[in-house]
Amino acid sequence: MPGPTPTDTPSLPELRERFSPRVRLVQFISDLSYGDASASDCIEIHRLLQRWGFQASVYADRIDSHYRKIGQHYSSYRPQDRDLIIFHYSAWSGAAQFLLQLGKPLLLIYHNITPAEFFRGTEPVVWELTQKGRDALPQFAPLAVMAVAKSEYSRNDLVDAGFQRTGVVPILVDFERLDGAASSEILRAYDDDYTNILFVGRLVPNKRQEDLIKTFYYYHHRCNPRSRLFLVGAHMAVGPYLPWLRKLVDHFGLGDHVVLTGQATHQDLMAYYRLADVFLCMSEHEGFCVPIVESMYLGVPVIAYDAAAVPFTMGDAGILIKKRDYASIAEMTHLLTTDRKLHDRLVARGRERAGDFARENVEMQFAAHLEHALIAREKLS
Amino acid sequence: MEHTGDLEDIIEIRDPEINVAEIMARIRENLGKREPLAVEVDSLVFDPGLGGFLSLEAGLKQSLQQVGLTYDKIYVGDQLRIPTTFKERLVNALRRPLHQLVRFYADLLSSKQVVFNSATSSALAHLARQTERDRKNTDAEIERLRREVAELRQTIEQLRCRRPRGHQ
Repeated sequence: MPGPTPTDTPSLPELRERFSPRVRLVQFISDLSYGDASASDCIEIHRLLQRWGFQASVYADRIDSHYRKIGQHYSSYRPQDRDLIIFHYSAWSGAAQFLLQLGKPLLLIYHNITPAEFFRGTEPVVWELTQKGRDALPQFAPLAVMAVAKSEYSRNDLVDAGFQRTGVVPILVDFERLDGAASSEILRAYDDDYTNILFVGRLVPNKRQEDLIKTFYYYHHRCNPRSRLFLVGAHMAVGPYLPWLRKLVDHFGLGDHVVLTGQATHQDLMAYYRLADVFLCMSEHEGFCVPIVESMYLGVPVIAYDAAAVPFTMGDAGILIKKRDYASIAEMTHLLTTDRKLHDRLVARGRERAGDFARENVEMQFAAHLEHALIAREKLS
Repeated sequence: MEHTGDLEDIIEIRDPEINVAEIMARIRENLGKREPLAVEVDSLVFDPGLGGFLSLEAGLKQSLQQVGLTYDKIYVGDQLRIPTTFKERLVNALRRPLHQLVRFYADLLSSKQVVFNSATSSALAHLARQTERDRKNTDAEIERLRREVAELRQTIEQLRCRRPRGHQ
């Protein structure tokens, strides 16, 4: 059964008056790490719930230094009858195990789980957590009074796993933050006439950064030697993927023209977006892909590979790649950076598309699903 | 790197305002006039065994991964039980300042520990990579020596065959 539509949305004062004195909204997540899309979404929802006047808290398995004032370890949670649990699910974790054992009704927020095969032979821990995460998804169906996915693509997973009430609420992107300052140090360092191609995402095999390097190899040597590829994203301290990418860069003789930035601060990230002429994504699996929306909002045209939730997030506001033909992709990139009319059209369309994810729209969609979950939970008790 | 197949099967532009046929024609024209590249890229496929630690013992590999995942997640969260009764609220009100004070110093220590952990994790990763490289070099060296021994044996055998009869 599909969930409510935004037209069913309750007014916020109504929602607050009806439920806030009587419920406590408790979010659970496996990993509360800075830069992680699920964690950012969880924090945005936490702030939203507090703004709406609800008593809210966040519990997690792992909490990094950035969020240690907000999150608590899940083992310190003491359930109360008035609680509605909101569980962000993106991999197996101690919190997932804990909630299954607890057996309380919950609102599941499904961020999608990267297929485990991407981590086979490279990251055994992640392989196990993603494999187990997918296998365990149906076990949450009987507990979920409502399940929302971040895209239509992910909602299909929920339906396949047997969830009865499902809906789609996109990730809450903090656009105001994107208007903030950019690192002047980085802007100065790359203040030249180079064409900059950008991708933002962790350095993991499913994001296919090697395909970006292969495309850039053609682009740099055949279309535009005054060019640079920024790969912005954290990488694991160990594991073979980063050494492989470095080898590839050396092998193609691209040297300093490919910049592997590592994890970027918010100001650094804003600088890379400002420097970018095009956002190129070759990722094989994305549950939503926040950087596409950020790029569109910031006026960077998008070219992205047609996989998982990417076409749902991008709509018709970017260029979709159907096959990994690096020469054609490089030529498309070249055209986009040299044809002003095409560039401006995609930027304008991108800004319109980003507007679909505006805070007020997403908040209303979330409120509708939250109300649905609260009513369902009330009926159960 | 050769372009193969129809461009329409590779690139999709859904915006009805864009003249797709014109874009495709220009890309085709550009593709046609470019020189082939020196390095073939399609065969360069990521194989975890080539770049990484595939030959490391599984337990060690898993421990290294675990170190990478957890080295900075050691801060102390709020461990106070959420109060449900008036008595618990009162106890919490008294305990909270002390709890916060302890957390302040514990987290101060944690931040120093994270710096150390980060360096240790990085050093371990380098050591693992070095070990992997050394092991590969050793394997290659053993293989080379094996081949050399086989060749020497063959040469000795040939010399024996050529030896004049009756010569001891």
